[in-house]
Amino acid sequence: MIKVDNVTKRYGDKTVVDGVTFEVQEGEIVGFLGRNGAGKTTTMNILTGYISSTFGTCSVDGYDILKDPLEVKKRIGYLPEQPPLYMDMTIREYLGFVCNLKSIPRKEWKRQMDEVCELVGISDMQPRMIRNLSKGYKQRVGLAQALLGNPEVLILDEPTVGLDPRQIIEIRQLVRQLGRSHTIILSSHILSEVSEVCQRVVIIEQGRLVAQDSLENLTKSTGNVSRMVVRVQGADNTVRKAIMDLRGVKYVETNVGKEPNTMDYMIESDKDVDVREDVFRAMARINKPILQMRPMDVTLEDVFIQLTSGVGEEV
Amino acid sequence: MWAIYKREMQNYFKSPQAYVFMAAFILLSGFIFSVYNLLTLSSDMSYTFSYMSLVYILIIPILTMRLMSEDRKNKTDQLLLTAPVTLWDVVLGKFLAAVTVLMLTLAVSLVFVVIIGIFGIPSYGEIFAAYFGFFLLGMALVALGIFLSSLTDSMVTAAVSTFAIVFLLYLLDSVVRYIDAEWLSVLIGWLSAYTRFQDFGMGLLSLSGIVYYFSFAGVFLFLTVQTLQKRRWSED
Repeated sequence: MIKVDNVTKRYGDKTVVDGVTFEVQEGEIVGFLGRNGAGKTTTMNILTGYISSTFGTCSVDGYDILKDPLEVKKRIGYLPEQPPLYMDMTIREYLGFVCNLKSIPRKEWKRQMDEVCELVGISDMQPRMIRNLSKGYKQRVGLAQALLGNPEVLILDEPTVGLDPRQIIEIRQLVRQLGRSHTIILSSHILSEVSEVCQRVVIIEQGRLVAQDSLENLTKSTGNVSRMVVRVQGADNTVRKAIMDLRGVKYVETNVGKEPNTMDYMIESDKDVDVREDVFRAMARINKPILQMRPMDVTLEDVFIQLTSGVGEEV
Repeated sequence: MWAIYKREMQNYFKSPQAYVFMAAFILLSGFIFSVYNLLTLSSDMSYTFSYMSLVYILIIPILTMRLMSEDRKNKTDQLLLTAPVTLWDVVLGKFLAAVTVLMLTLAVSLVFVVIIGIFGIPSYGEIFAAYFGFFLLGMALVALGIFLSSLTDSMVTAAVSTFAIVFLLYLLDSVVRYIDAEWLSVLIGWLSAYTRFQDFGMGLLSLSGIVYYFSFAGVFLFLTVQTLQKRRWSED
């Protein structure tokens, strides 16, 4: 559905986007991750035809953004980082203007406007002037604008930035709901957000693509060890030794526990070996009660830091 | 194109902009009309028009200053440039809206002709030619204003530069007389938007003049499109 092929953007001698290549299949929700200034917005601006790449191409549904810009633009609904709103219009007027701009047949305007307003929850706000709306509502009007004309592809640039937690949850739900009938690229620098709605992520750092994979694969690929933490009462050296002797355990780190008279052991073991039961039996044998045992998930944050730190050091 | 045209028209008439423009034009041209026609008891409007063309220096910037610059400043150009419309649609929509306001204003000023018609015998052909030329001159200057507005994201910069350049074009007309090199004065005279207008002011509907003003407008609209295009290729 969407192909980004070796897209590069230079400003003078500064390369903002450097040979980014990825594909998005129809119906996918893809998270576009990167720190601030990594080149997410630039890539999205190129994909939507707002700016042109220095070289490399993008295509949507087989149409090239440079050769058939209108065909591409018809298929894309774009919500830029700052919603492109005319402050001196009411919501209704603004959406009418967008319908007109997108050449939607006039007899469909009312139905489409009512539909998208309902969807983003601004139905009863329509006569209000846009300048008087809160940031959250402006964001929704921006989203409504992108949805008009029912484009197959939605490109949302940091759609939840600056919203309060309740609004963030609402927008996320909305994105998930829209994902059933649209192909979506959603950029963010917040990992938890992406992990909640996206099936796949594309990570870029300093303009370069550092990873693109499903979330499970990414968290898996951080190594072939699993980690867990065990808190043991009245611990001494025998505990560490007992754990180290277990099959599959590769490394044990000892920390003073938060509770008095306890020790925390961070156990690293082979990914395919479950050592929990062995740990329980070993502790029972030496008569040391286990107070707590919890797995340490490899978080997306870990993945992100691991993937992006390499690039950072290089430059 | 018509979506943009409609929005610009709404914007002109919902803000004080169009009214300020019309009021300023009617006030200044009314003053000129009073001095050169009413007080002198003359039905000849050619002087009136040549002075009225001076009014453009002041009011064309009002009409064009925000057309392109505001979109860029508020980032609403992101909406226009990512919508399924071409750059020409955007530029022409805005241009036609400004030209429409200009036409409406000139239509209001037809009251001058009516007044002359009541009290004297105007030469309608001559006046019509002058009006037409006056409109063409205004249209060309609007295109120039749009171009200058597309170069900046500040309305003030757009207004001041439009003011300065239209003023310069006006001065060019009188400078020509003091240039020794004949070829240069002929060339400048030929290129000068205001010199061209003199034919119309005398009642001549010259084809070359009409072609000139449309070309003038066309060139600046083309440059506006190129400016927008260029910005997409390199921006910082």
